[in-house]
Amino acid sequence: MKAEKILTLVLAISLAAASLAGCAGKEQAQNDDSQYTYTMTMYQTRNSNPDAVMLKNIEEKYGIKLKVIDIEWQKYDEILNLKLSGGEIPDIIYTKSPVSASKYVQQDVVGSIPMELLEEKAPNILKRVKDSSGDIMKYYYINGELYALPQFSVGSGPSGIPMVWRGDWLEKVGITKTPETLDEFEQAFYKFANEDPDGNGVKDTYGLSASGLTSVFASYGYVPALGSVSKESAWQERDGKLVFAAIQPEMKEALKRIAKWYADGVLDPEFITGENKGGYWAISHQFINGIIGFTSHGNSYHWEPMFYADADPSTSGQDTYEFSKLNPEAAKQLVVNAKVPTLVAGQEKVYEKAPLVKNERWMFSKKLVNDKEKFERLLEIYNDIYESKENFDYVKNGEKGVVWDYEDVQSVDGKTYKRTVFLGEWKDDEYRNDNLFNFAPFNPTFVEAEQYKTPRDDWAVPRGFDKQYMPYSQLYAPLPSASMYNAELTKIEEEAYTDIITGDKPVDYFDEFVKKWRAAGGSVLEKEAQEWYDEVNSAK
Amino acid sequence: MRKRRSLLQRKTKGDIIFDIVNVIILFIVCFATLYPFYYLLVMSFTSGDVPLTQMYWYPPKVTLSNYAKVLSDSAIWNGFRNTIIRTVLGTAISVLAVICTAYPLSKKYLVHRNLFTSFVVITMFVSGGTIPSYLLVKNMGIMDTVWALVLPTAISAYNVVITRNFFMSIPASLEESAQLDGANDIEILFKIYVPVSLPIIATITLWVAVAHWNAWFDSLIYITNSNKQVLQIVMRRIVLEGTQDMLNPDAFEESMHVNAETIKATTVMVTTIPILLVYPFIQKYFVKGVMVGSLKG
Repeated sequence: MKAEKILTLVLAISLAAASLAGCAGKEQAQNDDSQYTYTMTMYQTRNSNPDAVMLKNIEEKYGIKLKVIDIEWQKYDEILNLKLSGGEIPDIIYTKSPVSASKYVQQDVVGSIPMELLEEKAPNILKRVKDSSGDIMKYYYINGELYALPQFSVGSGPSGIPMVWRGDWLEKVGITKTPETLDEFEQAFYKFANEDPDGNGVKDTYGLSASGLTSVFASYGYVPALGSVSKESAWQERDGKLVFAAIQPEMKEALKRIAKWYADGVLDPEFITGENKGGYWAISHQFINGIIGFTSHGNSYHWEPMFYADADPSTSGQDTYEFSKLNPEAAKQLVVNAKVPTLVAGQEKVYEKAPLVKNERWMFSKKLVNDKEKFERLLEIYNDIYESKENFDYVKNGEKGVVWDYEDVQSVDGKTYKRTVFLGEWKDDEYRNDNLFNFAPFNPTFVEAEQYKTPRDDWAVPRGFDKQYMPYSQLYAPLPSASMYNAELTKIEEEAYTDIITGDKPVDYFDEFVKKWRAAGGSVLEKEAQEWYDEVNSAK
Repeated sequence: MRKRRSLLQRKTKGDIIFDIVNVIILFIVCFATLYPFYYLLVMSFTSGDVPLTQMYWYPPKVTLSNYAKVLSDSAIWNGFRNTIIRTVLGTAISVLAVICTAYPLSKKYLVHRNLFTSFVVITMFVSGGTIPSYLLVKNMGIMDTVWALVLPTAISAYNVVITRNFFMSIPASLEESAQLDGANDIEILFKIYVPVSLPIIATITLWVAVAHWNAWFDSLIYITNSNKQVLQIVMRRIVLEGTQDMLNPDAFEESMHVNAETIKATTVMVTTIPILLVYPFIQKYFVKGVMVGSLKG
């Protein structure tokens, strides 16, 4: 019996050992073709098609092979991490955030791009970046070395955070001029709440909800988490220092005003859960359903009207479209513009246009960067793409005159514009098969080429969306200790702001909040932010 | 005696109040659970040009075009095929594997029975994590095949334990009498034990099948060929489109082509109803199986 027991144990152990041994894998052999093969990841909302025509065009034009590794956008970081740890490192890595970027640098996955090499092989990249947004390459350095190429898009026309009024309500409560100062804003909000603008005889309307608070904070000059689209407080320049928006003394004044609105029933009590109740993120249910009369939810293009005479209403901005389904008449009176209330201090403030530094960026695997010829070939290709608008358009859309062309089209108000249309069978998405194929890293301005005005330009520019009225965050790198403190700090800030507004805490609690925030790690971040700011601005 | 009986039968005021409150609460719970599903059902029959920011009790503008559109999407049919393959194959493998693991563990005369059982049980508390699992599947060379979806989850420790407990509740005399008739172990398992264990087998079959039907994360990480993706991935892509704040410049162009809420609702219906239809057929075994399996430890 004893011997039998030992035997089974031995068997069990050897079985386990055998199964473990099976795990030892072997490296896959590289297929060496004379053509370079580049593997890449990118932003995509559906899987790529290996037979996509655009892919073939690029491959043929430049004599390379491209292989897209599909990664679902919602789980992008998680799955990319799996692939990286499994040794599947794409040559061209689309990086979702600065945090991931510095992680890849730490993990030694990506290689640094020598500036001299860029200047020599791909001067057009630097030129187009500079033309589009000035000196922003400095924001892509980590530990003093360039690790990424930017990703941005200027092709879509001016846009920004909108100030949206229900024009019919303004009219109803007897306001003829669109509010400009914060006091005028406040007056309109009170009238919306008290004077029954929807005319149903019940006091069931409010002036504003969550997103509308943006305008108040902006009027005091700073953007705390509660007033921002990204739900994160901004780091803003103040007298040469980079400071944290949510703890500025002006915010106390702003909160005081908002708390009064809450107590007076002017601020929608549901502001805590936000204006969007599910579905497409930019829809403001509170505004569309006639509960509030002012909003800043979404972006300006969600609120634009239908532009082309031959289009159908669903081509207008999502919010405009939904709003017009419920209130076709009121939709004609929507007032949209970019101007936040003038600074409480007095004058209107126009900030320097926010640089096009996005969270996303393009990085290159260490293996690719070390393979000098292959990497140089890629840079040469990029250089050729950015040589001219024609080359760029070819890579983006295919050949002009064959795949697409400009066409004269009438706008709703009778003007003629040039519109890009696909020709013949290329109109068919399935046939074209190019959806969201992004090989060119960014979408720049071509200063020397003729750029056609779109109706969006003519709509957005008079409304001020080409200028920067909204303050914005000027920190473009992850702070070293951010991941350690951020969760706690965000919670402290959120609680303090909500409690002060709802009156659970007095306005003076703000001073205590600032102390609490600094003590919970905020002072460390303040120091790191300042160091980063000094470094970026002193260096190049 | 008589008085006591009448007390038992007659409902006191308190009983009636309790019943009323109970029924109301259960109705509220039922409503809260079912309404979102009902709402999606309504939306799936609604034309896309009605205001989508309102609540509806019935479709304000009835249409079948959503179904026509969703069902004409080849990705959906492809997904159905892949999901059915993985569900059938995965359930067959899993149930067989669980029975074959649970049976020996239920036998008192198995040497080191408790040691082996604890090996199985430990995996319920400690798991290897995603990265080791990924590396395992990758190095076994089954990436991008249906095997990556059915093999790693073939044996669930929880199912093994409740099946083992069910087997243990069957009298040992059944096995002994079969042995006297000359049956070997395999015959005893499949001709004696399996037929009397239908409740538990039906239960784990349902669990495994539903889990396979709903699973998507494994497909997301192990399957790279879009033609081999399961239905839930297709649904996820359609339904999640546009729900996240996209502060991505590309989102601008993307925002113009977001699927309407009605299409999303229809996709949910199309992907969920088939598995819902399985429940009524297994229901009767279901309750019994869970209860019996849980009795002995």
